[in-house]
Amino acid sequence: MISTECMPFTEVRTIKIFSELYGAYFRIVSKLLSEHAITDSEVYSIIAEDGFRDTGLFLTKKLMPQNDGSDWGLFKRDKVGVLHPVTVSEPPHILTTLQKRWLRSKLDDPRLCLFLDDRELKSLCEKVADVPPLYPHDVFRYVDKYSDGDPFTKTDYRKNFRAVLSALKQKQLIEISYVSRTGKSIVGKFLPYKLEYSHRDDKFRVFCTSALKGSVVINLARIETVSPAKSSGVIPPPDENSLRCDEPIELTVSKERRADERFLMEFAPYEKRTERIEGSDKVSVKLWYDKSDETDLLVRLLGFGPVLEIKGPQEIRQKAAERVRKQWKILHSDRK
Amino acid sequence: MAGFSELIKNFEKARDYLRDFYICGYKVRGDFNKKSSRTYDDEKRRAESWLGEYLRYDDLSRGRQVSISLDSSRISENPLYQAFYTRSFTDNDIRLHFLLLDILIDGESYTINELCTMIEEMSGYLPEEQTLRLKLKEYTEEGIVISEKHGKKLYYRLCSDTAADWLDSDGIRDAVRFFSQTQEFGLIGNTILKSAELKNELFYMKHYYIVHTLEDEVILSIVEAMDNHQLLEIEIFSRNGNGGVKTVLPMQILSSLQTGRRFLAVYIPSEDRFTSFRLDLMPMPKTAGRFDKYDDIRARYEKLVTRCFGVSMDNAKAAEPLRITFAVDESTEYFIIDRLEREKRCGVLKKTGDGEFTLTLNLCDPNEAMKWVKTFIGRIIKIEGGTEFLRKRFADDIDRMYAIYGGEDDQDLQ
Repeated sequence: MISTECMPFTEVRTIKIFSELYGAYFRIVSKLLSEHAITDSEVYSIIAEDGFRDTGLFLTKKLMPQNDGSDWGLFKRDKVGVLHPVTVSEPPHILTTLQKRWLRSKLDDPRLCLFLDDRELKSLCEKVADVPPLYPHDVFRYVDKYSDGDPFTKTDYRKNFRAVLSALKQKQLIEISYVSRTGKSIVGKFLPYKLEYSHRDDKFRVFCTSALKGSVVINLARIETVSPAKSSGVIPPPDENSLRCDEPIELTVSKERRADERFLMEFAPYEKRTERIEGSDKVSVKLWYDKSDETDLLVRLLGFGPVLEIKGPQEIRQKAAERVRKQWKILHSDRK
Repeated sequence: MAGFSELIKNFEKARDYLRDFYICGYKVRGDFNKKSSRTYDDEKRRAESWLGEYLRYDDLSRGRQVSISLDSSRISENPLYQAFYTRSFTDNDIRLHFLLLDILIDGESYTINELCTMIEEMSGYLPEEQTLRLKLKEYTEEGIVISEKHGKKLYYRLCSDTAADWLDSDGIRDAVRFFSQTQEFGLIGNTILKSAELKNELFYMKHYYIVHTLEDEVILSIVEAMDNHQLLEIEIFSRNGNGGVKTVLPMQILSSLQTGRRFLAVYIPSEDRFTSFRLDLMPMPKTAGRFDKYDDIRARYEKLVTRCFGVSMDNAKAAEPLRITFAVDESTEYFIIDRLEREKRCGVLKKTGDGEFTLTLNLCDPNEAMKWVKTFIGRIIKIEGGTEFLRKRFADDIDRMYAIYGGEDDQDLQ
C-alpha cells in the first residue's frame, strides 16, 4: 500500500513556527529601526520592555556600533552620540504564508462570525482566496467537549456578544436582561470587565460589576437583551478575589495507576503548589480555585477514586465523604 | 556560564524542561537526571529569562523546587509562547533581513546582483551571492518575498501583504486576539498580534491547557503529513524502554479538554490496527512516503472512532456494552440529567425507572469511561456489562474510598 515513490526518512519541516522571523530579537530590532534617531537609554528601555530578562546582555553589544566591527552594522552613531539606522524606511511587517494559512483556517470556525460583520467577513474571504487552510477543521477531535455549547451563529447571540464586547472595550455601563440558572428573569445595570471562554464548555461568560450585586458572572447564552445604560450609583471596581476560594483544597495523590502524572496534567490550568512527600509514593498538592467551580472540582477529584485523597478544607472533605458513604451504601445494599 | 545564550537552536530540549517545570512542579535539580547538571542550570536560567514572573521557587529539604505556577484563566497571553521567540540566528541572518526589507519596500523587483550591490552601498557590507540566494529562497518559501522569472533572470520583490493591511478592522483584530488563545495553533495568532504590535487584553480562557503549545511544531508536521496522506516515522515513548520507532499513518489529533491529554490517532500498516500515542512526549516525526489507500483506512477509522470514549481504540477482551444506572430525582435534580446529556458522548441515555436513568455505552474500551463514571459517585445504582475486571475494580475502589474517608466516622472530620 505504500507508494513506490517512497522517499528516505526526512524531517517534516517545510513549514515552521520556531523561526527567528517571529523571534523577540527581530521584533526589537524592527522597533528600534523604526526610529530615525535614538539614544542609548532609549535602546535599553525598549530592550527591557520587549525583551527577556537577559536580552540586554546579549543584544545591546550587537546593536551599538563596536570598534572591532562585531556589531550587526544596522546603526551608526553621530557626533553627539545619537544612534541612526542605516536603513531608510520603517521595516514592514509582512505576513508569512504560515500566518495567512492560519487566518484562512479560521474561516471554517463558527466562532469567527462573532467578531466579523458581513463586510469584514467578505474582506477576509477575498484576502485568503488563494491561500490554502493550514489545517482542515476535522484534524482536531475534542473527545469530551460539552455538547451544549453556545449558539455562536445565531443572530441574537451574535448581537448580544458584540454589544457586550463593545461595552467591555469602551468600559461602558450596559443594561442586561438575562435568565438565571434557576430560570428567573433578571434585569440590571452592569459594567463588563472580562470575557471568558471555556474550551470544555464551549461557552462564553462575561464578568461584570454592578452597584447592587458586586461581581457577577453571566453566561452569554442566557442573555436576552443588552442596551446602553446611564450610570446610577457607584459601580464598584472589579474584584475577582471575591470569586476566589477562601483557602486552597489540600490533597494527596499517589503513583498508583500513574494518578500523580494524570492529576498534574489534568489540573495543570489551576494555580497550585506540589511537593513530593518524602518516603512515600505520594505528591501533596494545594490547589486554588474559584468558588463557583467547587462542585465541578469535587466530582472531578472523586473521579480519581482511591488514589487521591482530599485532605481539606474540612467542609470539602466532608462533602466528598458524604458522597462516598452514599455510594458505599448503594453498593452494599445492592449486594445484600 | 561561558558561552551561555538565551537563544536556542533546537526547541526539543527546552520543550522537555518547560513541560517538567510546568506539569511536574515538585522536581528538584537532582530529579532531572536525564542530562547533566550543567544542562539543567542552563535550561533553568533560560526559563527564568523567558518567563521570570511565572517561576516559583520553594526551598525544601530535598533541594530547591522550580515550577511554573499560574492560573491559566487569569492570563490574557500564554506565557509559554515566549519559548518560541528564542530561535538563534547568525549575524548575517539579521543583517540581511533588515537590509533586504529596506531595499524591497519600494515594491520594485531586483536581481540577486542588484540586491548585492544595493546592500553594499547601504551598509558597506557585501554579502556573498550564494548566501543571499539562499536567504531569498527561504523568504520565498516563507511568503515574505515573491520570485518571478523574466527571461533568464530571476527577480525578487516584497510580498505586499502587511499585518496592518490584513488586520484593518476592529472585528478581525478581535478575532485574532481571541483565536491567539485557542488550542488550534493559537501561537500563530500571537505572532500576528506581535507583528501588528497588538495585544490580547479582552479574552480569557477557562479549562485552558497552555502547555499544549509546546507540541505545536510537532502537530504542524503531523497536519502537513495528514494533508499529503503521508506515513510518519514516530518515536514511541515507553516507561519500560520498549518504545522504539513505528511507521504510522496519522489520522487525527485526539484532545481531551477535561484531562489535558492529547494523543495522535494512527493506523499502523504493518500490524493492520489503529491505536493512539501521546503527543506531549513525541519528538519531531519524520516522513516515510505516501500511503496510497488513505481513503479506505480513513473510512475504517471514522467507524471505529464512534466507539471511543476518549482515545483508546484497542478492543478490550470480552467487553460488553457498559450500562450505568444513575439515581436522579427529576423534580429537583434536572441539572444531573442535563449533565449526563451533555457529557455522555457516544452514549445513549434512557429513563429506566422511577428516579432512574441508564446510560449505555458501546465502547472499544469500556474501562476508559470509568473515571468519568466515578464523578457521579453517590448516585450510581448499578454497573452492568463492560468487563468483569471493570466491575470488580469499581466495587473495590468504593470500598477503599469508604475506608479513606472513614466510613461513618471519619477521624479527619472534626
